[in-house]
Amino acid sequence: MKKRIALAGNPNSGKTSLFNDLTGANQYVGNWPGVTVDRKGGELKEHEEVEIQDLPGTYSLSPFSPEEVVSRNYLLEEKPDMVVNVVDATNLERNLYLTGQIIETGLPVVIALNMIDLVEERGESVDAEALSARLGCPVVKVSAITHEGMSELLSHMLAEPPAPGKPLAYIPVVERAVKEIIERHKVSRFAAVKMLEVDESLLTELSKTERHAIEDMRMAIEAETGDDIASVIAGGRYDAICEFIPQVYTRKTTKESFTRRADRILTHRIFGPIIFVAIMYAIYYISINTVGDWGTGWANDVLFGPVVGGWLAGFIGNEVAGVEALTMFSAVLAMVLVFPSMLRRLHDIGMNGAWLYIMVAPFLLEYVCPHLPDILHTGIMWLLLAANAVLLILCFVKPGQKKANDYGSSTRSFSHNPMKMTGRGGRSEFVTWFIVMSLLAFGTAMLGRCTLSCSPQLQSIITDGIVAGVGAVLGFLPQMAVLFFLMALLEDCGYMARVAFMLDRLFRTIGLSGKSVIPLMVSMGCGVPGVMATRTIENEKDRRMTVMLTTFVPCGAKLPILALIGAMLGQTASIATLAYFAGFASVILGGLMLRKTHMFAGSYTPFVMELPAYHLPHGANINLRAMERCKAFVKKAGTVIFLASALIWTLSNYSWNFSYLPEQKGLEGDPINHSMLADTGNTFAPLFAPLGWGDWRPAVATVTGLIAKENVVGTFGVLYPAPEAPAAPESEAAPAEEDALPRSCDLNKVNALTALTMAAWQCDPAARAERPAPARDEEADEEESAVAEEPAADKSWLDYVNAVVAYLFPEVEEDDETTGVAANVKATGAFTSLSALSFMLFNILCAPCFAACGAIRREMNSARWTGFAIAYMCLWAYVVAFLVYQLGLWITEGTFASAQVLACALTLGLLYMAVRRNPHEKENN
Amino acid sequence: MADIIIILVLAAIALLIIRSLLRQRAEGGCGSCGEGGGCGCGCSNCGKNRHKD
Repeated sequence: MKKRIALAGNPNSGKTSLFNDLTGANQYVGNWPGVTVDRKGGELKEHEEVEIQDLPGTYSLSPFSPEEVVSRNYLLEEKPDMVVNVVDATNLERNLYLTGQIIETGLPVVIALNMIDLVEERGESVDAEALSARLGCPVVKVSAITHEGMSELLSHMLAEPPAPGKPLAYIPVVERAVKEIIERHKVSRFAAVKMLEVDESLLTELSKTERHAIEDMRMAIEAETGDDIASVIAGGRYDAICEFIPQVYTRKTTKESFTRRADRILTHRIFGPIIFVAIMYAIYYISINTVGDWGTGWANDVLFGPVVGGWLAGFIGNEVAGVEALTMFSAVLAMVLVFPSMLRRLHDIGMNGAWLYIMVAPFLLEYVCPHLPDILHTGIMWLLLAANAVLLILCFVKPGQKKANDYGSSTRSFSHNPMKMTGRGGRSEFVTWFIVMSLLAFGTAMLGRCTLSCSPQLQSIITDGIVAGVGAVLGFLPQMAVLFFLMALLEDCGYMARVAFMLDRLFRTIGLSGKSVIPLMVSMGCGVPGVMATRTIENEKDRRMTVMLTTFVPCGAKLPILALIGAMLGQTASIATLAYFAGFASVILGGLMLRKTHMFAGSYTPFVMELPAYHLPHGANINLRAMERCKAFVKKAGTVIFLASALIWTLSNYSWNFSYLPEQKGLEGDPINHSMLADTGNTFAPLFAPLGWGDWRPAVATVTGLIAKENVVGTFGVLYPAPEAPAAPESEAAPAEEDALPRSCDLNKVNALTALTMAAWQCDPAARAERPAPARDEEADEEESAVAEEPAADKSWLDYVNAVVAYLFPEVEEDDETTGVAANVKATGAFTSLSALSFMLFNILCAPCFAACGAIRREMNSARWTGFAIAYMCLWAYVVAFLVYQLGLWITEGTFASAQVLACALTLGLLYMAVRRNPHEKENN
Repeated sequence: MADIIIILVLAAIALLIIRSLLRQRAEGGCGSCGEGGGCGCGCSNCGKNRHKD
C-alpha cells in the first residue's frame, strides 16, 4: 500500500510549486490565490511508493467555498498518512491558524516553512526549532523556488510519520468544555471544537440529550465571554499564535516596502488602468511586431516554405533540388529532436546558460551581423561555429553529475522521454537519443523520396492540405512563445494579481462578483481551466454568469486569429490589444445586462484577495509555463489541426460524386467552388453576409474553429493557398530545371547549429557540384557565381563550410511585407479592413472550442444552461460583429441603409439595457 | 508502391492521433483541449498525475 501524503496550506502559499518540485509534474502555478481548485495526485520523484496529494488552498477547516470543502473532506475522511502543512513564512500568524486546526485533527504533521528566502531577503528570521518545540511537530525551512531545504523535507516525508503535534490552547472555559466532549464522545479534539461551534454534520450523529448538553456548554461560554462561540474559538487560536510569534519570528522594522510603494502607482485609480493598457500594448508589440514577428517571418518564409515545403514540393518538381531540401530538412529536424536531450545534457555538465546562446545566437546574427563590417561578420561566424563544435563535443565527452533524483539518491537512471526538457541527462542518454533522433530525422526525410513518384492527389493532400494547414498554425509559434513568456513574467512577478485587484474594483461597480476576476485571468491561458476556476464562487447565480462570460477573454488558441487579422491589416499590436480589451468589455457589458435580468439578480459575493509581494520572476517557473503552453500549441497543431487540415483538404478537393476537382475539365471558375465543402459552406454562409464576410471560406473557418480555435488559421491555410507567381518575361526566365527551385534554394536562415551539421553532411564535393546554384537575389548570385564556377574538385572542406556560412547568414533586406497565410488571404481581396475586424471579433467572442464547451457543460451541470450559455455567446458575438461592420460602413463610406438603421436601433437597445435601473434592486440588496 | 507507403504512413499517423485524443477524452481530464498540463487539470498530459473528480 502506498504512503499517502497531503500538501495542505493557505491559498498562494506555494503548495503547487512544492508539488511540482517533489513529483516532477507540471501543474499550473499562479502567483495569486485560488489557482488550484481540485486536488491533484502525483508520485514522489523516484519513490513511487509515496503518493502526494496537492490540495486546494484553504484558510481554515471551516470551509466556505467548494474547493475548500475538497481539502477538508480529504483530510478528515481519507485520513492521509502524513500532512505536509505548507506555511507561507512571510505571513506566519495567518497561516498558523490552519496549522492549529490540522494539528487538532490528530494527523501527523510536518510543517514546511515555505518562502523562507523572502523572509531572509527582508533581513528577518524564523526560529524553526522554537516553532517546532511549540507545535510539537517537525518544522523545515524550505523555498520551492530556490529548492532550499528540499532534501530535509524529503527525508521527513520518507521517514516514519511523526507523533501528532501539540494543539493550540484556548481560554480555560473552552478548554474545559472541549475536554469534556472528548471524554464523553470519544472524538478527536478537532471534532469536539467543531461540535461546540455547532457543526451540524457532527451533531446529527448525537442523541437529543447529548446535543442539549453541548448546547448548554456553548451558551455558558458565550455568556462568560460575551461573544459568540465562533469568535471565541477563532480569537483563542489567534491569541495563542500571537503569544509565541515574537519568540519564533524576528521582525525588522523597515521603512515602507517596495511592494507598497509600487502598488501606490500600479493600482492607482487613474494611473493603474492606463499602465495596464500600456503594458498589454507593449507585450503585444514585442511579441507580435518585433521578436515574435522575426521568428514568424522565418517560420513562414523559410521553415514552411523552403524547408518543409521544399522537402515535398522540391522533390515533386525536381529531384536534385529535392535532395538539397531533404538534407536541410533532415538537419533541421535532427536539431529540433536532439535539442531537448541536449538541454538536459548541458544541465548535467553545468552549462545551463548555453541554451540561451543556442536560441538567441541565430537571431542575433541574422539581424545584427549583416550590419557589421565583413571582417567582423566572418570572424563572428567562425567563432560561432567553433563554439557550436565545442558545445557538441562537451556534450559527448564531459562526465556529468546526473543522479537518479535531485535529492541525492545514488542510483542512476535513464530518461525514456527524449523530449523532456527539464532535469539532467547523462552522457549515455544523450548519445543514445542523439543517434536515435538523427536516424528518425533521416528516416523521415527518406520518406520524402516517396512523394517523388506518388500520385498528384497524395502530393496535394500533403503539401496543400497538411503542410499548409499545420504550417499556417505553427508559423505563429514564435509569436505565441514570446507572448506566453511575457505573460508568465507578469504573472510570476505578482503584477497580474494587481490587475485582478483593479478589475475587482470595476466589477463591483457593475454588479459582477469580484471572484469572477480569477477565472478571467486564468482564461487568458485557456478557457477550460478558466471555466473550472469558477468553482471558487459560492453564489450559484454569480458562478453561472461568470461561466457564461469568462471565455470572452481571448485565450492562447485565439491569438493566431488576432495575429493573422493584425498582419492582414498591418496593425498587429493595436489589433491584438483591441481584441483583448473587446473581450474584457464584453464581460463588463454582459455583466451589466445579465445582472438586471431575473435569472441573475441577487446579492453580490464579497471578494477578499491577498496581494502577494512583488518578487523577481523565477526563470524556471516562467520557462516551465511558457514551454508547457508552447508544447500544447505544437501538440494541438500536430494532432487536431493535422486531422482537420486533411479533412478540409479532402472536402475542398472532391465533389459529391467523389471526383478529384483539380483534374476535372470544363468546370466554371475555381474548381474548389464546386467542392463538397463549398456547397456545405454556401448553405450557412449567407448568415454571415450582414457581418461582411458572406463567402463560404470564412464561414467554414468559423465552424471548424469550434474544434479548436487555431483551426480557423489552419483552415485559411488550406483554403487560401499561396497565389500562383506571375509568369516571368521570357528573357528573364530561368532554365526549366531551376523553375522548380525557388523554395528549396532559399535555404539560408536556419539555426546556427545546423551549420555544423550542414558542413558535415555537405562536404562531398561531387554532390555539391551537382547541386544547382541558389536562386537568391541577383547581387548575391553575382557574388557567388565566381565561387560556383570554380571546379568543385579544387575545393577544400573549409570552402564548403564558408559556403554554408554564406548560405546561413545572407544580407538581410528590410521587408515589411506580410508573409504566410495572412499574405495569401490578403492577396485574394476576400476581406476589407472592416470585414476582417468583424470576422476577428466574431471568432473571439462566439462559442469557445468543444473542449471549453465540455467544461461549461460539466460546471453548469445542466444541458439547458449550457445551451443557453453557448447561444448567448454566439448571439453577443454576432451583434458585436454586426455593429462594428455596419456602423463602420456608415462612418467610413457614408452608407446608410436598412442595416445601418437596425444597427443604430440595436446600439440604443444595448445602451438602454446597460444603463437602465435595475428592476431587481431590492433582491440585490 | 510509393502511393502505398504514403497512404500507410498517413493512416498510421491518423490512427495514432485519434487513439491519443480518445485516450485523453476517456480519462475525463482536459486532454481534449490540448493544454498539456498548462491548464493544470491533472490529466495524463500533466505527466504522472491523474484527474480526480
